[in-house]
Amino acid sequence: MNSWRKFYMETNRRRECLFWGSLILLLLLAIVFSVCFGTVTIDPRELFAVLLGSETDSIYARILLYTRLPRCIGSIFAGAALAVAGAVIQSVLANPLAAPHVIGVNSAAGFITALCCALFPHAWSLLPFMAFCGAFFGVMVVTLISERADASKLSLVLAGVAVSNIFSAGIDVVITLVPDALTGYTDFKIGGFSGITMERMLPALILIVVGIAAAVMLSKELDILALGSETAQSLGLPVKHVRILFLLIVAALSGAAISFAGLLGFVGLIVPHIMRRFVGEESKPLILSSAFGGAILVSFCDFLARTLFSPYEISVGIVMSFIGGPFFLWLIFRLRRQQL
Amino acid sequence: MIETKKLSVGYGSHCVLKDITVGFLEGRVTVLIGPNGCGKSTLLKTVLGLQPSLGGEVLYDGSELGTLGPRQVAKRAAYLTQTRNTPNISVNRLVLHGRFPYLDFPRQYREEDYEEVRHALKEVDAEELYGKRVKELSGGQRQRVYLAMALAQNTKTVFLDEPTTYLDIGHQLDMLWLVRKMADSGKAVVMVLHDLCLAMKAADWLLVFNDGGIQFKGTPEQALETEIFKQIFHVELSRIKTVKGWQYFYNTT
Repeated sequence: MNSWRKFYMETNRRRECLFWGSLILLLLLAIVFSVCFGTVTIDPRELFAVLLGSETDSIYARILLYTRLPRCIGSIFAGAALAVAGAVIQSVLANPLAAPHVIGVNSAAGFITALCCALFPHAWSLLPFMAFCGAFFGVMVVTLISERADASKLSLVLAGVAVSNIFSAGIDVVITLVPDALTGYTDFKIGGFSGITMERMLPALILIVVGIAAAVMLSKELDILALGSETAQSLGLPVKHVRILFLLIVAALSGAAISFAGLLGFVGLIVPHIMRRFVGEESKPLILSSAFGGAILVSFCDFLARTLFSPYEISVGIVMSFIGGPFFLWLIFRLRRQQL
Repeated sequence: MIETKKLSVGYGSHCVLKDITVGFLEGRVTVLIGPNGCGKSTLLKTVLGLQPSLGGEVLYDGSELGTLGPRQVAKRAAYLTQTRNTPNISVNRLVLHGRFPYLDFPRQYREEDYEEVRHALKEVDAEELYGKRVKELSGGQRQRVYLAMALAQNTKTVFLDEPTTYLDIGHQLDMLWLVRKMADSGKAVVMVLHDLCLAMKAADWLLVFNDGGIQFKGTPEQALETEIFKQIFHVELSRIKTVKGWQYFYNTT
């Protein structure tokens, strides 16, 4: 191997270590922040005592076990799931503007969730799977419409906006007819984590773990698919089947997240874009770093949502929109310059 | 060898080419030319199984295309599309994708795959691009890297859809030289070209399409003896001998 090539690879490896190291560090920081700070500040030492099981009965322990920890876990998993779903859908559709909430996946899942809550108020454990079905229905509708239209990047986003609107009108209808349907959620339509419990989340968390693992395992296929469907097919990838498989993964991830977090937007759009700048477009590092990035962003936003106006609390979706909105605008200007 | 028997191709119920019977011999550069929309690219896609045929057969070494799985097809025929996404990945990653049909599920690359990648990059004179990002490359370099991906696929037949489009003239000639090298190494190269003079230079075997069928097949020498270019392209094609071989040019009639 040439010496310059070796040098190139070594500096690359050092940069990679630094990048992944800082992701892990940031996630740990976000966890400590979101668990220890709030209306009541808890000493980090207390956290370890509770985690190690030596203290289970104090008031701090209860706050940690029944409020802070579930909330932290929920925000981490929801963020990771939505960011990975965004990264996958952007590659599958070869469209940098695609994200679960842009193309109507979130509102379709939300509609089914709301409908389920109205019709079967006690079927908590079924919710993630119903949301998954809704999300899959939404993503299939949008891809079919855009394929029929002209398969352009624009028509996909437009179809997504239309479908998204229809489903969110559906959510409003459910809320109007059954005002109590979504009382379990603080703010379903913008997303939030208050009042979340481990029992409610557990089925969704399992679905998220399976979804992310599947996305990582199929990352080579995703790389091939990102080359364009004709090139992918000529390389021996059964494009149609694989594409549906990925849409299923996207639906599982966003459906599961939405079933307990509500309609969190933006994280699925901005995190993959940020990570692409660091790791490029190779799917495996992109998916993994998006999972970390989404977890960090959402748990940090949730921390802000709880503490900014403490003792009052705003929805994490609001904080995220204030951060995500300006970013999206910046993205539009940047893309125009690159003429994507 | 890949061949077609009475193959009809088109979109939906609209047939653009009918009853096409051709064989793509190994060691030979076959060039497909014809006016815009005559169905050359559609023919390539149908032969590769990227779109359904409207009748007739495509045979890969004697076996019907429909009986082969996508990976079996990919081990026999590589395809360079005319337009494509340019992902922001490294050159070596892109060329490694050419090894995809040879990998079983966990898709771990083996030493021999890296060996093939190095070999393919060497073949297209792009060793120095190893480790660079595809987005940073010029049009000519990109085209060579994509060709390396097709070479890494290690197939007996390579289909190229307008490989010289968007390249400046120097890179166009480079491309033809690489194509010649591939044919000399025993591959069947099938190429759609737009430029008549380039086609005459590059081809061992010329197929001229028009009006839903093949209007001419034969060597470029034989084509010059017919009126085919006048009929289809409304130009008069001539050539002069130079120290560097035949040079082709055309005049309007």
